[in-house]
Amino acid sequence: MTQHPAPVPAAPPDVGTPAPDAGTPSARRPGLPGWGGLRDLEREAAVTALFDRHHTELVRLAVLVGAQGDAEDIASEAFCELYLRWPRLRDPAAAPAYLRSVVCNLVRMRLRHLQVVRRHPEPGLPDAGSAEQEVVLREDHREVVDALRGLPDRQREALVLRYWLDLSEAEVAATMGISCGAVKSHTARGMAALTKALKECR
Amino acid sequence: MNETESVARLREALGAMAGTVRTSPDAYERALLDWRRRERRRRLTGLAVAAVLLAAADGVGLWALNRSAPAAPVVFDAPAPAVAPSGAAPSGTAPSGAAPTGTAPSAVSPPGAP
Repeated sequence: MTQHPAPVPAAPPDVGTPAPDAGTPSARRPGLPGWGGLRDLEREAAVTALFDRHHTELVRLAVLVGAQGDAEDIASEAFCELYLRWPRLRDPAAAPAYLRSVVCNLVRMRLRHLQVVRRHPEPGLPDAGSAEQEVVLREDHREVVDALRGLPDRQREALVLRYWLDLSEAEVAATMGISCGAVKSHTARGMAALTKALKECR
Repeated sequence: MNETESVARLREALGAMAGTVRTSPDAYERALLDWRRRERRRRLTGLAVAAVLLAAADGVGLWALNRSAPAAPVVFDAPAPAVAPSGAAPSGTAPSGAAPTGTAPSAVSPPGAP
């Protein structure tokens, strides 16, 4: 993943936005898959359309919920999982929610792995943070991001899904695999902790 | 600072942080190669498992046939059909109208068989 300075904040993506025609990955798609089959072609076309619409959104989601350097790998892994499980998908409209759920799970697994690695530190491990990103953010934004990073994983996920992607509580619950009540609890506790941390910063 | 202000600041900070993220231009090509490679590996693994199972089933069947005595039937254990001399009714059959028991109705013995 490459991160460049961008002064314009990115708005939450529109889920129903159609894929653009020119310049998108699907417009320069390579040839047919080696194993052939009409069903494979349909599956590949459907996953490619989803890639066009949601890949950037998923990379950003991965960064916001805690992945740093390997956010793009996590998003790519989510699309691989979707491609392999496409025949078992009950409704193609559920694919974006499935992708978000896979990204959140993979980021959580990565953070757990990093916690284990940090308990047994080895010399030469790269820093997970992005210095460039820190420089680009304004001071007040950095305070909020630092406070967000200090929250537990579930609370951070709930806040990002709720307030960045503007998902409903039911959609957040489906993405995180928890109940709506648990989403309300995580969101309320996360906001309270965030407000407290921001007050302490002032 | 109340919670509404915190939510506004959170939205703004999340948007700003998301705006710093750019994806690499060859992300699609790499993902496409990756998911094709995984699909090919999944199918090859399935074919290999099916081939191993088929070979094992063949081996077990050949071993069972090989270890049995030549005279003992392995698959069908029904007695051989009764010999019927030419022109005579087959022995062990029921009177007319009843089906013969234990023999196939259409069984024809070769002439001169015991």
